[in-house]
Amino acid sequence: MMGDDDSPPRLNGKVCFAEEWERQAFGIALAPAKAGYFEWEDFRQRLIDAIGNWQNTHALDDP
Amino acid sequence: MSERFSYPPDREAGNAARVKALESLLIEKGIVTSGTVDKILGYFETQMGPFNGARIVARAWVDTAYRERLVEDTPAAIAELGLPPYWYKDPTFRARAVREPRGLLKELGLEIAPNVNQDLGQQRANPMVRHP
Repeated sequence: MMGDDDSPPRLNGKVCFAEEWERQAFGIALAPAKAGYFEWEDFRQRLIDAIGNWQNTHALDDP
Repeated sequence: MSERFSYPPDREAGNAARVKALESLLIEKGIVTSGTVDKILGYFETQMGPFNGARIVARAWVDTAYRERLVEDTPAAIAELGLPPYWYKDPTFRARAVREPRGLLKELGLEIAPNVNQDLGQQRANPMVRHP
């Protein structure tokens, strides 16, 4: 994924996460992908599916 | 933020704890080491990003003559800084590199003799993708 158009969120060119745990979560997803445990694109698709499933089975005001 | 997006106050702390637990688990299983995550994030923060563009803009700020050359002939001014041209990542250019590397290299001034085989590789994060 390095060099691809998709990239972590940035604000004025700097990598920007709202919470430190978001940065950390991004890192622990990326690290095994970089080490070859899975393809980033596979992870990305599964994440998209997981979010979609959550949205389809939860109300907007669920915590 | 509207009521609609309210969430329990301990949600962030809970998420942070889950991420910490996941990281510990990955370290325990030997998949990552304690420094890996920071190292990778550091790469994103300092090596990857719109740093080339930032260099061009910064140079134009402090160097009036450069700014004029940048407006006059942008590709030439960018080349002065030793940066790759804008079309370097262009999908069409990349596709041609795969489809007809010989022709593309010739345009760039490198002619490959017909009796030389070309083996094309694409460098991704991992692993190397080979185009036969």
